[in-house]
Amino acid sequence: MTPPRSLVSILTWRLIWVALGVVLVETILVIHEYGVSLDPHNWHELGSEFVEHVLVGALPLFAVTAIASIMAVRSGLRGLRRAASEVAALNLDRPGSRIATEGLPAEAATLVNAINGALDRVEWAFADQRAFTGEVAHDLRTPMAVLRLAIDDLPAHLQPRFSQQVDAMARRVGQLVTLAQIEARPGSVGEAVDLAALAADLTARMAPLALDRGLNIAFDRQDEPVVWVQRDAIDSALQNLVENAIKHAPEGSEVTVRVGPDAVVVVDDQGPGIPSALRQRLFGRFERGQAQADGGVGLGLAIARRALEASGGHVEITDAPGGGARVILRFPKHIPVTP
Amino acid sequence: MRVLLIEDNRDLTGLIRDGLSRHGFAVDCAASAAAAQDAVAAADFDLVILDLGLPDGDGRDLLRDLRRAGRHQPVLIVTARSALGDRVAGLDAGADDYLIKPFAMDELLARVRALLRRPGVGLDVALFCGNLRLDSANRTVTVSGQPLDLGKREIELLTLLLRRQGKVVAKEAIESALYTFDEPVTPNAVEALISRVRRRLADAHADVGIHTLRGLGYLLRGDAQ
Repeated sequence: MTPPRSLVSILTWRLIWVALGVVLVETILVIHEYGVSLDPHNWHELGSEFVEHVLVGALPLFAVTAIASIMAVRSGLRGLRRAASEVAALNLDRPGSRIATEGLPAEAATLVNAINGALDRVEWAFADQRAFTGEVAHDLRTPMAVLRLAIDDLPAHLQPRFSQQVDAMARRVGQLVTLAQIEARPGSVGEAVDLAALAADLTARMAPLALDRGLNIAFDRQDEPVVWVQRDAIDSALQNLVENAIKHAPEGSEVTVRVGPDAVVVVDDQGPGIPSALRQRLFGRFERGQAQADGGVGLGLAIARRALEASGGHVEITDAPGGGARVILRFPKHIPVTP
Repeated sequence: MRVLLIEDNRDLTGLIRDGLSRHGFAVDCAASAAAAQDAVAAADFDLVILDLGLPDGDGRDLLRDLRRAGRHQPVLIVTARSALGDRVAGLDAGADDYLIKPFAMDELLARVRALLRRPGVGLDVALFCGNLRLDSANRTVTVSGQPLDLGKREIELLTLLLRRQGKVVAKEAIESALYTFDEPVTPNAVEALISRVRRRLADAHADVGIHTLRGLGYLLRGDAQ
């Protein structure tokens, strides 16, 4: 495929050719009209007629028109350049991002509207797929429940191996359902949530699991921020982070959930920590190679990230003091409207 | 103890019924909301286990109908719906607890027993965990059958923790349950009480532990868990 040529350069060359053509035609007309013969003695006369009719007459007019055309095309193209950079910067994870048609010539606007339409279809396809995944995952829970109870009837020495597998499957299925639920409601109206109360309840619910693994779990209430979020999504996000921490913390160590200062929730563990190289990778939805052996950690972080983005916040991964992983949920602070 | 299991999946119904029967519960099954209404009208149950996804209606509507009809036995919802909003809606509809599929039989049994332990319900009289046993009627505590001498407040604390064994009891909840308005509660009063009870339990070789969850409260569970 030949590389595309600049419209401005095509236009400019066309105009130059047209200008030359105009000069040629005008010259022929001048010769014809004034009956000036072509022999060298008349070239002086030919020359002055030429200057009078072509250079002073037609050409300046043509030049002004040509310059006006080139400027119009260039300004139209500037709008296209802006649109192109918007497309390049599109974040498909933020549903609803579209390209603006302001400042574009109508012909380019047609193309941009077609692109926006394609983006709509892509989003609907994603949403359908997410909903489908969520439904399938949800449906898996009943057969898994049957399986889990049937395992309880196995001889005791066989149970742990099977129950661990089912529990691991159950965690993944639960995460798929959660992710589908969060992504199915990207623009949902949130509600005012007492973050410290939510985090305290969640931590208390997770306490038995922590104790089962021989860990301590503690809650540190340093603030009482109110945030505007989807409660379900944040609860699921925090639950996944605490589950991750519990999975990685060594026996006898402590997992801490802290709220504040300001609108943050911080989950610390004393495990091996998350190496920097992996931190950005872990924010993809399902990193290949990572998904296999991480026991749902990657998916848990993806859930946290989507839940926070839906609420206008973000997630940071860093190191807990003394080693271990620290995951920070940062929320935009909600300013309650006083009546 | 008579349990009504409202569940439409036949495999699940069979497994739950067998598991509960093995632990001394008499289980009746209903596979639809209509069948459940009939069962409840025909007999008195001590506890209801309810799956929300019934073929002829949402379990929560059935629950609301039951409550409105004056049936107040404890209800344990068993479901695949896991979002916090679903849990809250279930509890608001009148459920007492909420268990997400899949679950182990032990977990189901623990939840059932916890619900039957509530004051005024079924197994209220004797609370036990491991080799610790508390008779809440005459306020006596025994460890492996040997009586343990505890003060009034210590017994009240143990009662509170035993009723909610396996779950966190908030420090504030303990304070308000144990201390009246005209007794100033010093910040460390509860911690000191807990320490005393821990020591007494350890001296008596009780196989239960009271865990401190900093910033939350306390939790009693068997050491074997």
